[in-house]
Amino acid sequence: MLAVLDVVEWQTILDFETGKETAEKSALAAMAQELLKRNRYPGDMHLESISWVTNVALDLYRSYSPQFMFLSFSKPFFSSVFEGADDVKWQVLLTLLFSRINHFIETTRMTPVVIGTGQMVPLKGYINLSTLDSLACGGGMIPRFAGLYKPSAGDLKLVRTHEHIETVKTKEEIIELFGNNEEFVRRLPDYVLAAREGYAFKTFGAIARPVHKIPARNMEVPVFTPLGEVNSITEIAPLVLKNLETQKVVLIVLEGIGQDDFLMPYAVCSNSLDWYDYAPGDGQYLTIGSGRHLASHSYFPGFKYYLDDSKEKKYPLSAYFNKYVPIMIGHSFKGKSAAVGSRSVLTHMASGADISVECFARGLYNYGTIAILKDQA
Amino acid sequence: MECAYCPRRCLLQNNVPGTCGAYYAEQGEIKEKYPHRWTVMYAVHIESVPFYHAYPGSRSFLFGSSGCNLDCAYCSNAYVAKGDPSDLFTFNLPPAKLVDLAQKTGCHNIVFGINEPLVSLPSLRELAVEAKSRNIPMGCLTNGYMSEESAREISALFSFINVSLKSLSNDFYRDLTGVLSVQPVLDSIKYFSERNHLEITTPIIQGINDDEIEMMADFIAGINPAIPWHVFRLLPEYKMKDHDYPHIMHINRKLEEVRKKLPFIYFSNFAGSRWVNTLCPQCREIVIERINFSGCGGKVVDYKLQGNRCPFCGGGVPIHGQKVSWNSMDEDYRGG
Repeated sequence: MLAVLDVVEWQTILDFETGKETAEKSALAAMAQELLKRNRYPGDMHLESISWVTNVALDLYRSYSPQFMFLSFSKPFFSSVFEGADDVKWQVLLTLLFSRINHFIETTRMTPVVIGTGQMVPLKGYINLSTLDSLACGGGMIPRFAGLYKPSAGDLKLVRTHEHIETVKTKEEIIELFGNNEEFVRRLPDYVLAAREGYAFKTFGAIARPVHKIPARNMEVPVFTPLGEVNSITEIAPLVLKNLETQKVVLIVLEGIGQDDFLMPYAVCSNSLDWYDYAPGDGQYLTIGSGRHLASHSYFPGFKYYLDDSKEKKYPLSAYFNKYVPIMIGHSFKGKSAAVGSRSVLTHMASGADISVECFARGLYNYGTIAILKDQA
Repeated sequence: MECAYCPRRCLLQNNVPGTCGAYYAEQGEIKEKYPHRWTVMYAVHIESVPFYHAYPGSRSFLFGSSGCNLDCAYCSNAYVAKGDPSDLFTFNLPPAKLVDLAQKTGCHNIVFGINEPLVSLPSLRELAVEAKSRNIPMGCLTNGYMSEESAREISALFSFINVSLKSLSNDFYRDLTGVLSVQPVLDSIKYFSERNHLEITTPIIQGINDDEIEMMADFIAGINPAIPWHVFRLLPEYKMKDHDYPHIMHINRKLEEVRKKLPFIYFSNFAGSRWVNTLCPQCREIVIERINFSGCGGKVVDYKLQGNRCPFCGGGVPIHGQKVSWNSMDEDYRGG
């Protein structure tokens, strides 16, 4: 795999598996270089990041003619989390978001599957686990789940009686729910904790930026598609694949958008497995992209994120992922596929597309853009 | 009473802190306002801090507090350095607890970064005692704008230090950081260079301090040409967030001109940088290969030095501490 990295006015081509610069070139890489030059990412917190996704997607649609496209929009999520956008700003954002999506659909005539990742709710408070005897790791940017490693009896008593902790599960209970996938089990904490709605964990690894809203406990999320009934987020990938035999399909993920803000006619589908509900992030993205639950492609929130980051780790630009599980729509579909997203890493991980163009932002810092190119058969 | 920590010498009164917001006066003593209060704790590659010539390959326990004695107009971490502490301080951890966490996360060393260590010096003093008792080295990033007494203390607490040298010009420091003189920073650099492992970082702001590259190289080479110099392509934030990003080839051309004076110049803060490897100063072979997969720093992917010697020509490359592998301290690592 090749990656074309554009850090604003300077580009390089990397071997995506090693992260090292390469002299290798391809027609697709040359096309990506021009596309990135034409479309500079405005930054995660800019409203224009919404138009950036659709502009790049239309550019890519014209130049590559994909039959399957995957688009991700993270701006609503970042606005909710870090700005706590007021009503007027929020309505402006929603209007722009849905008008750009409609414009893309009308222009390309691709059949849409549009899914919101779920409602956001005001942060009520943090559950601080740093004073425990044991190590606690949070999962994701604003963790609603946390992992405990070798907890003392006192730690367990504390978390089991904590008023803002809803669930404490053992490793065995997680395996029973998600299955005994070796990779998944290898990174499971001894215990996992789920916060009550409105609360997030503060642990080692947590971010410092002030947070306004966090994901609600979304057992269901809104979905719009003319392709047929969707009962669960795991049914989206098979539905898309089935319809790609006869038509062009675009799968659009709207982060931080729940039923209250979904400005399209929608149905609701399950966003959960038993008590576990997916929050915006790796697990939810890859479940949507593959049609399979968490254990097939990622780790349970609260794993030790740093453990695999040795010098031998493959795919260093893909965060903690050290391999590609080839079960996403773009892997199964043999026609042309392309992805564009303002969500770094997860756009290429969840799409499996021939070409994935995404922002290269880390911690809200805008380092530019990247195009990841799958090896062509 | 007058604050002794930095050359601002703020007048502290009861419950009225100075510019950095970290200290106040009480019964004739300077008190720390938020002792042992921390904002973030991460396990990171030491190269991402950045330290390229100290404990290569190691896992650092990076942590920080809140506040700063400078007010850099382009600050990348203003939300921590200038934010309201009541929104930020989450962790209240005494020294033993913090060192416990560093060990539980398999970290080889502890590094204070994110904001300025000067604003948490009494807490860091206690932490250093605890870390030393467990043989864990400590390092820090600092802006270097401190009093002589503070420089002595920082030097004693931290074995490896990275000082941010933003400019050699008083005008730059006055206009963009809010203090009158660069001299205390230069004095700190000289002081640390004689006592500690020292690396220097310079954030480059296009059109503002890129013309100083040669002068800064001369200054560093005049102290010790073996000092690693990290030149950062600054992405301005805070009051300058609309300022242009520095042009990579333009900056690199200037750096090429001074690489003969300073053999260990690194140019990063952008992914994919090809200027993050260590070359042997004698034979110019790559002796430490790194990749930069995010913004700052990166990580080691190939380490060829034998001891502190180039395997190709035997030339010396100064490294502080030993090369270690990422997971060597992690008891839970089971491979894979």
